[in-house]
Order: sequence, then C-alpha cells, then structure tokens
Amino acid sequence: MNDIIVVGSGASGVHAALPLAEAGLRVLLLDVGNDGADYRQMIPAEPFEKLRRSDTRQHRWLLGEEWEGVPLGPVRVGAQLTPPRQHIHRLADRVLGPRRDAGAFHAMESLAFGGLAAGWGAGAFPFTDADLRGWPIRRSDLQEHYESVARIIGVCGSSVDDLAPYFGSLPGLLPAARADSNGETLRECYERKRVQLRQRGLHAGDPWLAMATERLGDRGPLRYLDMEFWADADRAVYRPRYTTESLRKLPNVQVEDDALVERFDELADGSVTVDTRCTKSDARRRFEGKRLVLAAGTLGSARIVLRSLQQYGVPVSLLSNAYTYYPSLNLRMMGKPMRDRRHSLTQFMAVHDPHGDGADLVTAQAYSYRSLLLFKLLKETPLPLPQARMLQQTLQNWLVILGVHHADYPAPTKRLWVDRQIKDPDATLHVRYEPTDTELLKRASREKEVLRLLRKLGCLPIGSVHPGEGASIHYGGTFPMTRDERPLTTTPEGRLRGTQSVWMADGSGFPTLPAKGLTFTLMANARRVAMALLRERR
Amino acid sequence: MGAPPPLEAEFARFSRYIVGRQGTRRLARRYALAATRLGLVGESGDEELLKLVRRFPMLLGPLDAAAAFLRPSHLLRKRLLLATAILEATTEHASRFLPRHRSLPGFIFVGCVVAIVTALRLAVGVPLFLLLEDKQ
Repeated sequence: MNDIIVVGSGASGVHAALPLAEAGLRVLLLDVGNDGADYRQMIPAEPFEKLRRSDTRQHRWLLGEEWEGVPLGPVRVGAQLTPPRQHIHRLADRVLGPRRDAGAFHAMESLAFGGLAAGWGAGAFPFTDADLRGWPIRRSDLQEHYESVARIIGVCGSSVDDLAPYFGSLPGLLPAARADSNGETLRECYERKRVQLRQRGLHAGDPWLAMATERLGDRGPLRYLDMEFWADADRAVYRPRYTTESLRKLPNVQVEDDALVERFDELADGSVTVDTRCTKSDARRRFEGKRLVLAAGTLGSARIVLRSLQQYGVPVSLLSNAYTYYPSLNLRMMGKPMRDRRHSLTQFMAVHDPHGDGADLVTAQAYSYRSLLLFKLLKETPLPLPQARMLQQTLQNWLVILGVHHADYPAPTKRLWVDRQIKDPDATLHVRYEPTDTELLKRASREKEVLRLLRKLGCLPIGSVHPGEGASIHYGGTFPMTRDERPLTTTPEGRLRGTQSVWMADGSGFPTLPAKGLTFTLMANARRVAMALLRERR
Repeated sequence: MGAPPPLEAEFARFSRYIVGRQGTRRLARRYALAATRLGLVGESGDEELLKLVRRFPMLLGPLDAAAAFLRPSHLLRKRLLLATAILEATTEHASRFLPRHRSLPGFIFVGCVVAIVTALRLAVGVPLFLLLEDKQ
C-alpha cells in the first residue's frame, strides 16, 4: 500500500510530494497530466524578434494548429494564454464534471501537467504577518518553507528596495532580472518622486520572480529571449513540471498519468481508497493509501471533497482575487528606443499601502507588450486596421499593461456547492460569486487612487479591461484553516476536519487571499502541510 | 490557373488593404481554411456588406472604419482581423507588425495622418454602414 497519495501535479502537489518522498515514504502522485509537448518541440530556442523574422513555421505556434490563438470575441478569462499554453485549461473544459458559474464569474481549471502554474507569470511574493491576518498561522510558520521552496525554484529580486518590507526576508535571493526600457524608466521616475509617492502610500521596486537569473541545476541562466509567454527554452522560469521530473527519478515515487480523481473513501482502519477515471478510455481504477493529500486546485479539490463526503447542496466559501488590466502609455518612453534583450514577465511592481501597516494592499504589476501579437491590440482599437497598425506599431514600445490585483475576503455571496441531479452521474459544481456593493465601490476607489499615483510616473491609462470575476485564476478559501472545530474546514496543519487521513495542500485552506500572487505561498504552504503530516505519522 | 475561390480572392484584397501588398496564394489558402474552421463562413446578415465590398473594393476602408467604430463584432471586421493575424504570423510581413521606433516628431506626423485618414473614411463609411444596417 502507498504511504501517501498526492492528487495533482501543480504548484501545491509537487511541493507536498517532494518532502514526503525525500523522507522515504512511498508516494503515489495522481494526475491527468495533459501536456503541451507538441508545441514545445515546434518552437526554436531563439529570441522572439529573431524568430518573427526567420521562422517560416511561426504561424503554427503563434496562431495555433486549431487557430486557438485567434480570439475574435470579447476578452475572457485565460485571454493571456498563448496557443502553446492553452493545453493548461483545454482538457479541463471538456472532461471535468459540469460547472455552472452564475453571474459574471468565469473560472479556469486545469488538468495539465503542472496545473495552472504551467502558465504562471512567476510572481513570487511571500505573505507577511499583515497579509496573514485572519489566518491561524503566521509568517514564522511559513518562513522555513519559503526558504526551502526558494532554493528549489530560484527566486530573483531585490532585498533592499522599497518593496522588500512587503515581502519580508528571504535568504538566497538571486540577483534581480534586468528590467526592460519600460521598467527602467518607471523605476527612474519612481526614484525621483519617491518621497512624495511613499507619503501617499505607493511603494515600488523590482518584482520577485521565480526565475533563475543564475545557473540553478539544469535550469537557466535567463537568456532574455523574450519567449516566456510561448516556451520555456532556457528553463529559467520555474515550472512544477521540473519537480515532477525529479520525483519520477526517485524509486519510492510512482507518478500515475491520466488518472482523474473522482472521489475518496476513508476505511475503518484510517486508510483511504481513491477512485479515478482515465480521461481517454473512461476506465475506472482504485488506489489505496494510508494518507491522502489533496492538491487538485481549489475548485477540483472542492469537487472531490464534497462528492466524497456526500455534501450535496451544502455551500462552502469561495475566494478569488479581483483583477483588472489597464493598457497604458509610458509617456517617458516617447521617442526612446526599446532595449532588445529582455524577458516578457513583470518589469516593475508597485504596492499601494494607504495606511502604512502592510494590510489591505492593492498591487500593480507592469508588463510590456512586446512579445505578443499586434492584431490582438488592433482588435481593441476603434480605427480602420491599416491606421490602427501604423499607430500601434509605434505605440507598442511605450505600451505598458498594468495588472491591478485586489485582496479577497469571505462573504455570504461568494459560494460554491455541488448538486447531484437524479439522472446526472456527475455532481454539478455550482459557483455563485457576487462581490458586495461595498467591495465593488472600494475596488473602484482604490484603482482610481493607484492609477492617479502611477500617472505621476508617466503611466497614462488608455483603457481598462475587466475580464470578469475569476479572471485572476487565483482561487481559495473553500475549506479554510481555522482554530475552531467547524465542519468543512481544515486544521491549521492542513487536515480536513471530519476525516482522519485527508489533508488539503492547495489554496482550499487559505482563509483570505491577499492582493499578491498566491503561487509561491501555495508551494510553501503545501510543504508546511507535508511536514505536519510527516510529524503526525511519526 | 483558374480564378481563385472567393475567400482566397477576398484575402488578396484584404492584404493589399492591410499591409499594402498582396499576400501569396499559400497565405490565401491558410485564410480560407482558418475562416472555415473559426465559423466565419456561412449565412449571416453581415454577408451583404461583404458582398458590397467584393463589388466595390474601394468601400473597404470606409466600411472597416465604420464597423470598427459602430460594431466591432461585425463579420467584416472579424474577417479582416483574421487576415491581419495570418499576415502578422509570417516572415514576409512580420516587420509591418513588429514595434517600430519613431522620434516624437515622427510619431506626431503618423498621428496626424491616422487622424485625417480615419476621419475621411468615417465620413463616407458611417452613413453607408448605417444605411445598409437599416436595409437589413
């Protein structure tokens, strides 16, 4: 019998499995593992602009073999994924049990190898004690796990700029990635107006990214190919797939592909059986283990838990960071050429902390629009196409896409539940996610203030894109960790209450979602849960 | 060699309009395939306007300007965007889409040209577009 069954190969799953496997336990990793290998083999390891001028087969990966890179409708969740990354959600849309999203909520789920983190923007932002308000754990409980995970994934950034207090200390930080000309001009302007902006609550600096700017095992160093949206040629940006590759080499680890977990059962002796379905043949298989670690993603894990515990119609909380894009012009780039060697991810980051206590932050990340196709911009430009092309070709160097993130907190109007119809073999997952009017007003006023401050850096918003609730692809809070004994919650260590052997290692246990990317904390928390599980077994 | 099928001929017209050069037959076939796969071919009220463009190619610019302004989801606009995507993803035409460095006076000049041409196209295109929409 397996000692541990881990469900999911995403950011949480692999970082829960790794310490358990390293401790010598027999670990079975169950995953569907849909892969994007076809595209990976198609894309040469060359700079984006060089490929655009030389690769005669570029249409195949730029537009997609099924033309999936030509979205002609409105901007939706996942719009940022290029064809080589779209395998992340394609199979999930088809294979998972039905989901009904009410209102303007559009979730993305993944059955890909590496889960949603296969398309991670690599923002690695540790949570501070201020972020963890309302959680039963503190930063000190996560610190050693942040450090261990950072040694594996490689986190680059600055420990001395104005953002550092919002991330806390992290030994072994790799040198920050060099910003492109857009990021550099924003940074220079911030330095000039630093005192004034800080007084108004804006703090800015280098984003922390899970990117190997120096050689890290068989990864990196970053080659500045500007291909991060399309491929992982230099393996500089961390992907959970790399940890799965390491896990596969361990003799006590078995990775079972194409095993979609549907439910679990706890037996009288405390062991667990897990029922899976093969997505290709529909064949059913059953696996046994002494403990089960669920890391199938917040929605995936909710589906499994609520079906397994037969909690049909029982609502649980759901959290999702609100997210808005602001295409903006960096006026200080006018007439200046753009540096050619660059990476595609966040170039500059700002935190709005109006009360100066680190709580209730809004974060803004600035990307350049250089390694994506122009026609997507033309689609949003109300001009005749030749004129739109002429204009945007010039503006592209000055264009900054600002991604603004908000925190999220539980509310009675943010719920999910499963509901089994009499003739429906699968439980339908229902999502009703409606922010309160107070939240919507607060979001709007905070965004207005952040944009006003960013205008002082020369960043002029020219529009806004609201892809809908759920578009941040950050979800959590379904089985929040609490100190009180309540059903459908987890203990601070991560065990699902009402079970003896089931542990939650993904975002399900997060009681709130701070306005920072979650992925690094998902990894650190998964490792923390795994270590707690190890202690319990001993 | 016979006359190209309608979608391929349409692509030739669109590419001359978008980048000022006629796309190759290979790209035209790619366009026809993609338009079919993406469901941009078939019966639609918007086809009337495309027929008009086929008969009077000089109306393409004004009607594109009007559609961009009044109804960006119009079939004409979708087909033009598809042709743009196909042209952009080629080594022959990539330089027309890759970022171009211009000085500030150069940018102001481009801005003025864009504004004048757009205004002229809208002046012709909007009444015509509204008339055709009204007829349907």
